[in-house]
Amino acid sequence: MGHTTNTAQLQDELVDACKWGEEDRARELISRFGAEPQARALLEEMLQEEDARARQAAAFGLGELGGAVSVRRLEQQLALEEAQGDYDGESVVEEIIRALGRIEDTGARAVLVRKLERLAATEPELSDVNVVTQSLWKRRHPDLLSTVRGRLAQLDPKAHGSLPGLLVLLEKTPDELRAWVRSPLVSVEDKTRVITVLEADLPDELASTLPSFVSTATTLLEAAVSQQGEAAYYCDRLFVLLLRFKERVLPALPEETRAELRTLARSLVPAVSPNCSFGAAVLLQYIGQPEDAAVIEANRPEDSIGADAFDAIARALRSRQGQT
Amino acid sequence: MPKGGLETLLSPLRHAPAGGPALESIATAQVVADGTLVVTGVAAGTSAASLCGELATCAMMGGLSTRYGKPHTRQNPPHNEAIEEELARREAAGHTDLRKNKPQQNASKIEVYDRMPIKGVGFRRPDVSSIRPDGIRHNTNYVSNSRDLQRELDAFDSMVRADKEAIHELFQLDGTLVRRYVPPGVSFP
Repeated sequence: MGHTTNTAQLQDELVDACKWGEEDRARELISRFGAEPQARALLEEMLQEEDARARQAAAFGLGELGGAVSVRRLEQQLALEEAQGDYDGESVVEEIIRALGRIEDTGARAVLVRKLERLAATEPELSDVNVVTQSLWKRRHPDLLSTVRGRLAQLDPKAHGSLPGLLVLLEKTPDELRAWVRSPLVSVEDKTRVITVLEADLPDELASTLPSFVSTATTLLEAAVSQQGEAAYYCDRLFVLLLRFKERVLPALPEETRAELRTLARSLVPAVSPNCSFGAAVLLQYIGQPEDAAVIEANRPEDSIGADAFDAIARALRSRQGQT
Repeated sequence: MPKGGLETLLSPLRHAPAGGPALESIATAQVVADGTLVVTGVAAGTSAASLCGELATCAMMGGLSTRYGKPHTRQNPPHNEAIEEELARREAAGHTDLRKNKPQQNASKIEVYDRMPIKGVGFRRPDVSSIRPDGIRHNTNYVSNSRDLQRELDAFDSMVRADKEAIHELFQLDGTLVRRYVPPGVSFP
């Protein structure tokens, strides 16, 4: 009885952690589910729950356990959720796609490819294409090239989402990517698509291409400051990418790129686009100097959440005064 | 079509839509065999957006079926019903990309992340999310348990930091507005 209660509590806690996006806590809870096959059995039990949040949590857990067994069970559940045809089923489908993106077994990639093929055979929601694209990037392999090309040819261009960005990343070497990003012949939209794919995973060999992305942002500065358009969105997503991997990426940037990025961020704090402005301000917290606090304070947003964030950034910058 | 016509589906709003003409602008509507409410000809822009501004406060009212049917959770049915009914109302108002309990996305249907995450929580799952006819992302959460109010407030702040170009709302289940963020330059309701 005690064991049953403890198990039920663990399952409830896992659902709670996943509901609130506390993935570190969710991972720690899964480690307390016990060794295989007990943990797997408990998670598979949760997949039978009527509550979609429990099924989402189970999918997350199986993704953490990994292996071919998880892949097979998740594919089976994917079919069940797709057949359900409701909002709850859709939410579990998305969690399964994300879980498959974390499983290293080659079968995970095959399931994702089949999902992409099913999407391409219909009129898919752009959000569904984008989620599958990011998971495929995490499970990237040269074999994906023909699949991605084929599905892009099959899909209406309006439904491409970030899939063309995945194709670029699969096709190009880091050197080719640098030249591609800097090319004025390539649309800003296409460059943004690449960034949004990299947000899912930025491998070290591609982190070295970031200076080219930063230089491109500099060329877009005038438009990015003054209007909410593609240029501002490109800079916004570049800031998102840099912030997602800030611990690894920012210290590794060449000094001249850090200086360029700081100038860019200072210039974009007053941007018309609230997201671009906010991203620039947060980035300055990591790469700025005490004197940048004045720029932050001069452009403090009117809303309380933004204002609190800008105040915190300004304080953090000022606290560096006198530090080397 | 239910007894009493379309209005019986659309009228159980606790508060009348601020924009008024939103309902009048629906050109045609039909309920197909599976109970799906199909609405066409909803005027884009401010009319439908006006409706959506009042929707969440009415989310506990019954009368609308979702395009998918009944809720599917046995945990906290009032919370789930609020979500499902809000989704149904938004669909009727011409919103697209209707999402329930999925990771937060922006108007371009790309995931967004808290730029200043607290306690390592990088992304959130809005209870309800959709894109208004004018292209603005609209996220809504409901306080499912009063003991979780602080967590809900933290989640609300986090969602705003992740996407300052979307509308964000936090409601109690009785329809009381707890928080609302409207981006600069966006009309609301």
